[in-house]
Amino acid sequence: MKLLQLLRPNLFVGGLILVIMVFVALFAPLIATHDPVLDANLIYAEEPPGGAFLMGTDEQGRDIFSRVIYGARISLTIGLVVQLMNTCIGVTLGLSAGYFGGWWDEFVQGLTNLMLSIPTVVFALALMAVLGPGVTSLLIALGMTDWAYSCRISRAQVLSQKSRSYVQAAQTMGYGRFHIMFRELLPNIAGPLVVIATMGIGSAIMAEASLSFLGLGVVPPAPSWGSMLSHAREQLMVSPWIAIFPGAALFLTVLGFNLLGDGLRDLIDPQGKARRA
Amino acid sequence: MADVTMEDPRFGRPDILGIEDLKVHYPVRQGFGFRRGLLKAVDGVTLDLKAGECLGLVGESGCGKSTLAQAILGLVPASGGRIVLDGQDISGASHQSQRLDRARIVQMVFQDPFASLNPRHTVGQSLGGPLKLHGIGNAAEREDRVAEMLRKVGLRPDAAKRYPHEFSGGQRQRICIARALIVEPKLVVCDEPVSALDVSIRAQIINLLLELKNELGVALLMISHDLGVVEHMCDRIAVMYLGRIVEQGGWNEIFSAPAHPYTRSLIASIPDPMNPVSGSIRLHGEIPSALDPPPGCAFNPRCSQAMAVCRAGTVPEFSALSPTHQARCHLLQGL
Amino acid sequence: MSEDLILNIEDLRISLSANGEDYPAVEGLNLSIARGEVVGLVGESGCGKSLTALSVAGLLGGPLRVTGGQIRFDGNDIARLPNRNMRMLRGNRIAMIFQEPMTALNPLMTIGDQIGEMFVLHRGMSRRAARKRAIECLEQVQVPGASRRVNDFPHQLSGGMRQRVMIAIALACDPDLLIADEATTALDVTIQAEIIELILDLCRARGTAVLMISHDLGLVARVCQRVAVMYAGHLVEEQPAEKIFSDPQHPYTRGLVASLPRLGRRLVAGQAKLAEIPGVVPPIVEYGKGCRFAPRCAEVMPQCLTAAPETTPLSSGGRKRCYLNG
Repeated sequence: MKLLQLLRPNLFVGGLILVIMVFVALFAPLIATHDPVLDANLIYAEEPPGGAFLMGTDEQGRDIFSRVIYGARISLTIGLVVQLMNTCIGVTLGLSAGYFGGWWDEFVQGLTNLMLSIPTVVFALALMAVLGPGVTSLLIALGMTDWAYSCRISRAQVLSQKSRSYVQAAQTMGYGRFHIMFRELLPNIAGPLVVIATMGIGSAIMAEASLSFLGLGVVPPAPSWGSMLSHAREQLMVSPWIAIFPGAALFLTVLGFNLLGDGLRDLIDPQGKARRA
Repeated sequence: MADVTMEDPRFGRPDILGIEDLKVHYPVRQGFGFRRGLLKAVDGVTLDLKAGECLGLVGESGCGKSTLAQAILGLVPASGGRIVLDGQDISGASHQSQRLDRARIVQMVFQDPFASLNPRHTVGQSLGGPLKLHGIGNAAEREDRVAEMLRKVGLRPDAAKRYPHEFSGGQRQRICIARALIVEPKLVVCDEPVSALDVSIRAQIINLLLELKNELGVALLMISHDLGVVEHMCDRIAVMYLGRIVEQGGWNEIFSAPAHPYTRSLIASIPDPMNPVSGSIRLHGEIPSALDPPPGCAFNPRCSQAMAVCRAGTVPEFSALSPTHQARCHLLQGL
Repeated sequence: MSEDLILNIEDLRISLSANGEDYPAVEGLNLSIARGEVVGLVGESGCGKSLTALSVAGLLGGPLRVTGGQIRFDGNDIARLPNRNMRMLRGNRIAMIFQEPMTALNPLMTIGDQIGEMFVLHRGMSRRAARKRAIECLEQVQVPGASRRVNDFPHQLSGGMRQRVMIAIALACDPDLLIADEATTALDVTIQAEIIELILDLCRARGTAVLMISHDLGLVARVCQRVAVMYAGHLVEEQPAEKIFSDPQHPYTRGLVASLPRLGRRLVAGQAKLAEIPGVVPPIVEYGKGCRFAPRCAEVMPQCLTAAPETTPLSSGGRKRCYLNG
């Protein structure tokens, strides 16, 4: 793979954004200028950007810059964990459905159809209502509701690979079903799955932001971008910076993941480009 | 199982494979799902193969030769009849332990060398994995065995570190042959092993297969539509048509004195300039679908010598033309 | 003499553009076909035989172009003819049938319409008249129940039937030249024999010349009058069919003939090893300046590596490209 290919715009821009975000999240304590939760001084409430407060302060006098920086930690961590959970569930179900067929396949397909017909956030909301607020419930609610797409894709890939003779050769050799699914088939279908997983992190972050926005996810005073946006609603006309910066951070991060996913797809499946064009 | 008499050169050798009245039927939905048809891919096949022997299985599309191979390997379940591999009756359901045992007895070389190796595994993984699976040797011994096998098929041992896409078609087929032989099976089924290869390298693979068969004493079941290859490699030949064997015999008997009209047409159709073009053996009509085989002798619609009994009557029984040669044709009955 | 030739290819060069470079996929190809003659073009995958066929029909595209030589059809050079002129020849005077009838036929049109199209397009017939002619064509290619089957779609027919429909379409307008590119490779051997016989009978009746392309030397030697052998983009030998097996002149042809398991060989030679040609067919990017078979040739000489041999005539009336024997 020529190095030049890595410089294609999608991959490059997406990768760059994400490298910056990860860097920021990792080194938050060194980059942030104030404590995001404790440094709350009402004297400085709703200060515009400038001076000590690079992005201004919110209605509680907390530095928005520091909160945005620490917010990256929350968003990235939750996004990654949620997507990991979803991918594991989706791939396991899809792989086994495609390989075994029969009633298990019918069952999984029915379940997938069900999941696809309910909007993710609505489902997550319902679950949160039952489980109560908090990060654990958030992880459960989001991590178990968005696996349908990866399930469908892995199933389709398995179906197309199942009849190839290297699978028959493995069966002839005496390998058991689980070996064939996870050691023979999975490496060959991993390509498209990586792309889906990458772009799924973006949706997971959006989902968390939405739930936090509604007050159900990460509870304040923790600096989740979503809840920051929520609290900025009342001040939108007066102090727009309270909403702009977390909003921009959210936008950039999700964009970064989408671009990266796009770029990865072009790398892995160059023919797809011709189909899209 | 056909009795081997003392005149048969195979007398005294152990049976590696014994198939008795094997049937593989697939239920299919016809029309909009209400009519249930039965696809009789293999419909009552009786065959046996002795140690170190090479049996050729020939036939055209829909004759069931590939399905038969898959049934022997356990890739598709049999609907009836018996399969006895190296003395063990394996016709029942396949559990994991039975699968492992079967893998040590029978292996397969597939038609497409490009699809039959996992592109994400190195050659060393594809060859060494089975050894590990069957608990053969420790890590060092396995590595040695992989190197030895690669040398036997004419490749350098450092091929083990490389991936399939780095090799040509002929080299990949050599790797597949190595993989089939590495667990020391008693029988290797070769399904069109050279059809997908360039013509100028087919001789290399044919020579390799024969050489290894003689050196290791392994039995071969050669499935091919190329009668030239079959004549060169096989000791005995079975001709299949629509799920049944229509003629069986020694290679010389089949090629110099074919008895069944279908066998005669097959041989007459071989594209070789030395093969005289004879109009009377020319076949007409299409190969019927296995879903709806003609009644009586399945070959009757295309047979130029079909009689009334062929169309209406029963499937003909085998007539013995010699202790080793038999064919299934109403024309031969009464001889 | 040259008026007798329906096709005369001289010094043909087809280039492939890839990665900014021009690779000579086919080079120095000389081939001629007389009216009504059946000539076979044999070679392995990648040797350029299909490219040659496509260049005659004007169907090269994208990175492939004719960059040298002439293709004279009935006296006129058509190698670089613009597409609108080629369209008048294609189907009308030059016809082609392919290996896979399922992809060559339009799945959404009845076979009657597809055959009839030829008459509407090239003979200006009305659709009703064309349909009647289509039924006649189907009868000629021995499709049973032609008047009913004329309304069938390709997927309703078997492989052998679809190939017959392709032949009917190709021969509808009595072309001067039929190019059959691996036309029977995908068929069972008994059906193959029938289809070949059908093609040859129909062409003989019309005086149509046939260029039969195949990887099967035995097949081509059996049914053609002359056989040309290609290797890695070069035409290395051309001889009357009976000479190709009995007296091959080029080391590649000799190696090929010796390596094929032939009927009756075992009676004479037992299971003695088949003669092997060492090495593999080179990929197009590795074609050198010299003879392209040199790396695998048992009789290679120093001059073989520096420059490719010219085409020289043989006493049998054929040609070869080899430095051996003058």
